[in-house]
Amino acid sequence: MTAISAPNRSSLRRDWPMVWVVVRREVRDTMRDWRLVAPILLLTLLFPWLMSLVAQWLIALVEQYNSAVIGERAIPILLMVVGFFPTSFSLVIALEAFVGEQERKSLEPLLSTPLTDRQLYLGKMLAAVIPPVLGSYVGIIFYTIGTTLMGNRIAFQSSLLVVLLTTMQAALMVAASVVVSSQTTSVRAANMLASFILVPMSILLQFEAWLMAYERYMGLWAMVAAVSVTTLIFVRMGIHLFSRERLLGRNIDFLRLGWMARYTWERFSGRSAEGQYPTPRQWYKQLGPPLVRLRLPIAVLLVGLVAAAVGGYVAARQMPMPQELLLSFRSSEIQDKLVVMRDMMADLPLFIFSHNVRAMGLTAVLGTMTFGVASVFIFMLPWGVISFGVAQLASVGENPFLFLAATVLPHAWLELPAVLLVSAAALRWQAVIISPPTNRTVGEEWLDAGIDFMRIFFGLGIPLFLLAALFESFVTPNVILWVYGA
Amino acid sequence: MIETHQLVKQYEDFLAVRGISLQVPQGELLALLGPNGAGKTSTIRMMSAILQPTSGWARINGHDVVTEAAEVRRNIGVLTEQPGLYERMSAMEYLLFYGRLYGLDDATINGRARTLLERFGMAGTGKRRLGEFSKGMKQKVGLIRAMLHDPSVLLLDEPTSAMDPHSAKLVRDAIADLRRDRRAIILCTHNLAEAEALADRIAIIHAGRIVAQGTAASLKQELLGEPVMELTLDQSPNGQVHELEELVALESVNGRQMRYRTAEPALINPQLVRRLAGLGLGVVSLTPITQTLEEVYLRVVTDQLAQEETPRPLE
Repeated sequence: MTAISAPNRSSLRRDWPMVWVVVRREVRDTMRDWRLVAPILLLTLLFPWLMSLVAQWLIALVEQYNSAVIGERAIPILLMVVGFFPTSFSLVIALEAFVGEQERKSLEPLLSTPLTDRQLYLGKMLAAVIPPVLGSYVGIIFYTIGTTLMGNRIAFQSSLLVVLLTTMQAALMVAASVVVSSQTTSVRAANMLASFILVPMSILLQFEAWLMAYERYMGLWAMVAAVSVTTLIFVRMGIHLFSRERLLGRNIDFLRLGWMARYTWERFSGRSAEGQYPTPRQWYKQLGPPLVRLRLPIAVLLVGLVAAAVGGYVAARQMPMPQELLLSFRSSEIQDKLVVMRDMMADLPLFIFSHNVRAMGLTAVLGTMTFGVASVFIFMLPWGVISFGVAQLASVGENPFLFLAATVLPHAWLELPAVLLVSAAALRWQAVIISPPTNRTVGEEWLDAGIDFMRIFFGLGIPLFLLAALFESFVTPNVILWVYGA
Repeated sequence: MIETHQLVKQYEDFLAVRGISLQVPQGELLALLGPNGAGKTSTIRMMSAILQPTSGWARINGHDVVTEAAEVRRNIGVLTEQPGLYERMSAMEYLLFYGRLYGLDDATINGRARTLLERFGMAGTGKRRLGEFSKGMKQKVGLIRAMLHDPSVLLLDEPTSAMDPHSAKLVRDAIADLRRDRRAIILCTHNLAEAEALADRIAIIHAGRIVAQGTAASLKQELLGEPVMELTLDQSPNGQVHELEELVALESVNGRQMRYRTAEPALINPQLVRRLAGLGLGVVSLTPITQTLEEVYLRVVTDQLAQEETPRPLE
């Protein structure tokens, strides 16, 4: 009989042999299922030739109407389509990676082996990625050959971008699907949740097709980077959330809306266990712990702010605005213009307030879909624009600090803390599911972070935005007039 | 060696295991009996380091199931209630896959797999797809999987369910051999005869607690009382019964038949026969009444259910 000791190994490289054992088994299993193999083969071997013919037909058609460019641009777009179709099967394979095994009762023996959670997770993930992506590559090669044989060519950059995008999109879909599969209790539930992956992916594809049609290669490279980062976040989240216990024990299909509503209200209102509601002073005092929890997201946003400022400065150096436009700032007519602006701004406090609130709403919604990535970018955007403007003015001899003090500071001392706190609360809410504490469920942690966001948004954000809007409407224009109008 | 101490498992609002303490040394087989939902599977899953105990601890060969989970999994072989095989794989491919997960080389896996398949009467089936196997064959492959890496601890959940009598005997013999090889084994089963035949000790679990534990004999004695003997005489004893009550506790007298209990049959029975002869009563037969583990089990479970139904006094 054997008493085997654990090798003291933890790195990914050392995990690989075990990961590969899982991958081989899973891939072999997939390749034995004709229901998966047949459509992949059709899409890989037949569809690319068909698409080459479509491309040729399209080119002939648009040339007839002197619009050859449309046909040329269609070639890489069709290449994207050829690449994407086989990868869609990765979703099917990945969605049932864990929950399918659970339903077939083959999961428990696997969980009782010495495989680590990471080895198991990565093995399942790679096994779902490899066959469809290989199919996709074969399709891309066949399409390229077919297109070339018909006398058309595809730019190398387009091909490379399509290969990279196809690979990363497949990895993203699989990473997200494996997370879904490891968190649901039935294949049916996993399939129902698939729409949360398919809808954003279809939007992404349409956007990529638009970029491809207009040959916006920088945008496509940015998409490759963004999809890669999101995939890594999903993989990180999947490994962190993966728990043998939860695979066998939990049930998240059951949404307790009543309990959630009661819990949210109790936490938001600060009602005590005895049913006592706090006074406003006590309620604000309770905001202390949620604010302390925002240390890390605030730090992340401040780093983003500095990066945006640097980015704005660099952009201003690379794209200088015409000097005459910048110098008009010191023209004799400026006072009249500033007076008009001041009068106009006086009518806008509610607009400014609602704009800021809308922006924060957008931060919350878009950030939720991107695990907080969008929240950071939305936060960075205005500071990048301000930095761009200030750097442009500095290049024509204006004092940048005076400009900032006159145009931004009078209301920013209220607006910046409000934006920072609300964005940080949103970021924490959106990112908390990537790495929840081990002793709590994702749902519990997400709900608590959401309640923290609401408390900070309504308790601090709204009052500060209101005050900032009043300052921006009535104080800032007068300061600008005072500084620059003379 | 399997050890647990005050093991508790709570799922949200359900307490599945309520403080189970067990010790199974090497070379001993403990049968875990209990109705469905008693907490057997949760206990086994905690010992397999799949579920984490809410409180208490469990150790396998001295390794803690929480802090040394990977080490625990290396040292155990688990047969789950449903074998859960990959049906598109052949038996040999399946065993190769699991053997590799335990770090065995292919030659070792092939050798062990062939030996075990042969031992369970499945020689020549290695290349067949698992999907073509009968339920009993699948269960045997599950058991081979659990034994493939030669673990010192085995956790077996219903190993002979769905098997024909011949296959079941092969598996029971194999389990008996494993125990003789000085392995620690926990066997969950609803087959009480199997438990009685194989187990050194038996633990009956009900509503997450161990409600009775001991050898089959001690449990019978404790729960069913002293062994019962049935005596058939050549004539009715009539008024002479009181003469016998000095020696044994009579359970019943029915014509020429009587039943009595005695803690020491070897000592008392000869004395009783002599006394009956002295009274002019001839003994036609004297047989011990078999007390089964089923009676013990039903007694325990019925008592527990009755206790649960009894209203508790207000505190």
